[in-house]
Amino acid sequence: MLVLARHLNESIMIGDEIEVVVVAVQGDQVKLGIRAPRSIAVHRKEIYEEIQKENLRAAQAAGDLGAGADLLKKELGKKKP
Amino acid sequence: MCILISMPPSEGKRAVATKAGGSALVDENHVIRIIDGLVGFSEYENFALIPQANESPFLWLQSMDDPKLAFITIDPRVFAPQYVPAVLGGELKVVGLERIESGIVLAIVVIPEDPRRMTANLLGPVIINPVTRLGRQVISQSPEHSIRHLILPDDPDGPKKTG
Repeated sequence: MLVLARHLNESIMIGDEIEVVVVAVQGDQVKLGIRAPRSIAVHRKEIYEEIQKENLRAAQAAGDLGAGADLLKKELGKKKP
Repeated sequence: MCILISMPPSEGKRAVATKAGGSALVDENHVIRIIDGLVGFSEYENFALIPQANESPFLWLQSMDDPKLAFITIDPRVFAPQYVPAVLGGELKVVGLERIESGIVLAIVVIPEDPRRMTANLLGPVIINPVTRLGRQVISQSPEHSIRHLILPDDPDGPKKTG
């Protein structure tokens, strides 16, 4: 991993199109600004990892889809006037 | 199935091997490309949308690259009519959408051992542009959107809600 030290308001360029700026430093929290093409998704790592884990869980899940569909149809049927 | 009706008329059909077993005949217009794939599955971009059964609210998101890779999905508005994912405008433009209202929104579903506890991922929905047939898994910025939203209401006589 490349480690660079930056002061407030200094930047890092990743390739030609991605810029990371130190926008604020408050105690142990660093606020980062990111400029990137909109085609590149930028997210907090822990959220990204959660989604990844949940996708994997979904791909592997073997619950009874037919039973799930029946339960949901029944539930939706209850709400009809 | 109202989601598929909103897609333009068919050009032809394609046979797709499915995880559920066998081959499904899929309308060309139900074949989509998910840009960069789903999170954690970046190599798999080509998917077919296949209804689980007639009048079922569930749709299979079936990989065309690997028959064993498929996800159960649902339009969250079926059980959460007020749901609007808080998506950054740039994410919508990637699939060519101006507004979320013009797009198809699908949440990936997990059906566990006990189907009463099935959940939908409202934090990371899949947005599809029905015209370009491009899709993307995006992340909702709203703290109210849970990665494991219980689809069915809690059974007051059953186990306590976790999710």
